[in-house]
Amino acid sequence: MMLWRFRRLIEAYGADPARWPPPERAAALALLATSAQARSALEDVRRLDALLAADRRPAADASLAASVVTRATAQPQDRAERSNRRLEPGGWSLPRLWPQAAGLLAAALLGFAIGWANLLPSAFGGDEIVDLSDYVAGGGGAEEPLP
Amino acid sequence: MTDATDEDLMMRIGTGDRIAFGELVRRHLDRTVGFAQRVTGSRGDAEEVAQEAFLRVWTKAPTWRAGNAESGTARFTTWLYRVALNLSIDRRRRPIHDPLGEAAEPPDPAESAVETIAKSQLSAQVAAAVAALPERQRAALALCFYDGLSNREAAEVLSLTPGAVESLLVRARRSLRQTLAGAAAEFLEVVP
Repeated sequence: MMLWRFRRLIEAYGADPARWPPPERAAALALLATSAQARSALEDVRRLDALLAADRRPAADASLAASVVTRATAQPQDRAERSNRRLEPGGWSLPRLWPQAAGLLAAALLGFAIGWANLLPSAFGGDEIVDLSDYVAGGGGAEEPLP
Repeated sequence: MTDATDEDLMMRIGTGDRIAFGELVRRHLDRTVGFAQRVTGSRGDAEEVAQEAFLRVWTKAPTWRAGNAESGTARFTTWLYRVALNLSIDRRRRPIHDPLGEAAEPPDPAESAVETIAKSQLSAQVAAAVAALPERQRAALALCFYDGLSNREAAEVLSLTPGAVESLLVRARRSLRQTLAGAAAEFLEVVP
């Protein structure tokens, strides 16, 4: 591990190796064992950690826990979505889905039929398709001059 | 009961098991309040956030599903943190907050009065400096430094990549280092 990466690692995660991302921990410790600069950087970060750790929060008191339980359990649980689980992967059931499946199949068949019909020669014949390119390109009508 | 995983408890809560719910509250209330307090900057708001978050645990339990078990027990806590984070951000955006440090940790009887005061002042200064950080930096710091989540778990809570979480942490700690430079020197004079 390069020193710059070590510095960034400890700047982000602090001086405690247990908090470093596991894939980089061994390399960081190896650098620490051989580099005085790395050890010096770690000492700086350790001081900041100690300072931040001074912000201690008191534990929640027991009355809060009791209040949380009492208030929450007075409410009904949301069971509406539980029945929908059968529609989720792994839990869906064909009998419940067949109307939707039939509708989807009908729409697909209709789309296929329309698409197939448009591929057939036109009822008016291919020769009757008017080529408008001359008009668009200016061959078929004088273009109005811009004012 | 105490051996049951959070996910096991959630399954039981989903069937209306109040004892399982009480156990889950006991396990996670402190950290939920602590996390919410760091994000909202207010103990009162944090307790309200915890009330609301656990109300959602109770009401959503029947439809809640454990995620991919790849990261083990982190799944329930990740979800709970995300709920608490969103509720905290909503609270934080309200204009009125009660004062920081209103619920300081009780003094340690082994400390001298001077030490107690110094630590209490330092705690308030650090809390104020953390509260002044931008929202996402504050949340990343609370998750990784104070609550000990890995960068991957924090990334899941914050819906970011681990690299983005790392950047937030670096910026947060650089900012705090500057803000607290004076506080550190004063504190070391009193409590070497």
